[in-house]
Amino acid sequence: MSGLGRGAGQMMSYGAYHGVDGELFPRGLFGPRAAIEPLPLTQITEDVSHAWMRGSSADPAHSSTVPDPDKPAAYSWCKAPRLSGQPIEVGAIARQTVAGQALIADLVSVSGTNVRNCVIARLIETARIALAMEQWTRALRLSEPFCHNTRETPNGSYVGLVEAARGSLGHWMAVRDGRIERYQIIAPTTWNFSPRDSFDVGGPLEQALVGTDVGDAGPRAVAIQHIVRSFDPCMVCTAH
Amino acid sequence: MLATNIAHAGENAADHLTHFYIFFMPDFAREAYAAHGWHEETRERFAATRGSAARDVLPARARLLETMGIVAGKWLHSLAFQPGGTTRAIDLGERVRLLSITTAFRSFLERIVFADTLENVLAISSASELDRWRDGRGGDFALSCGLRTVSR
Repeated sequence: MSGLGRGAGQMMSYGAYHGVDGELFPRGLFGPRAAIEPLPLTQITEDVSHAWMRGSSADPAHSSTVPDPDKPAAYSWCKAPRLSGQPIEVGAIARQTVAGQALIADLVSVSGTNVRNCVIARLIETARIALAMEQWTRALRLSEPFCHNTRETPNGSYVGLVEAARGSLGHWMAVRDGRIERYQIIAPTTWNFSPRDSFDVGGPLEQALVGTDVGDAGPRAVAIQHIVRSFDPCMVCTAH
Repeated sequence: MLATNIAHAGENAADHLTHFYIFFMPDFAREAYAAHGWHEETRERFAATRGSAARDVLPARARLLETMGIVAGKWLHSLAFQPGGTTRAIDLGERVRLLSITTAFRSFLERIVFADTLENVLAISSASELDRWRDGRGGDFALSCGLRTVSR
């Protein structure tokens, strides 16, 4: 399995499970020099050159999502999110690489991201989560206030970033006069399954599929299914 | 913050288990792998809807998701979360219930998934240590690490 689905290399995490001492899985970028760097959040853009979407601002805080089903060069309903112009892989392997988890960091340094390492990362992360849940439950202060509510939402722009199981999930929202004026979502599978951008660079899945030996089975090869599933995709409602 | 983490973690861990047992491993029960020595074992364990693993994982997953009900007060929809916290306070009895769920989840992982303690699993720090650790070990994780894929 380690020979299948070699990824493009760069990965990120928005950071997950906040605590007084920071995050259990920290925010960061596994960048082009294969080192952990700060995550330049302002460098997130959306490219629609190969998506059935009408062009708008590249900045998710200002862009819109308007379908354009007759667009000639398009082949996906998925936009192409980019960080500093580059495709980025997200998910458990990205979180654990950015977090410096010893086994995952070693596997990635030996063979990069691939089907086997993605599956190992998901289960190693599950083990870490199980231990953390025990500790959090013991540390809960009982019968305390449980929510800090704000009554009004002032005019302005808001960004919500979280690590869902499948990877980095971002919501960009603008509010005016107490109402939502604009709302954009970049979901984890949109990062992983993004189509090509205007430089003709494919997203993580496309790059992982390149060079796969499909033998006589062609597009029905089980190797393709392993690679696609190793990203734990969710494409059911992809229209971002 | 801790309560938010618990609900978030419960949902993410449940998703990871679903992916491994229900989406990813059943591909290795396919006829394309009939010639491999491990095929009979993976077919009995992971064949879609028929494999023995589903009987283990589905109750474990459902139990884990009860954390969401206790913390967020509304099973299963995560929109019950608020940006500033969760939806209810936790009392002593509920903490006891949460601890029994996390204990059961650890037990499932240690018996069925890893066949070792979580502490031992997380002490594996390199690819070569992983190979030594999984040599001869039961459990679904060690089985999955040793699979070889085919391209046709």
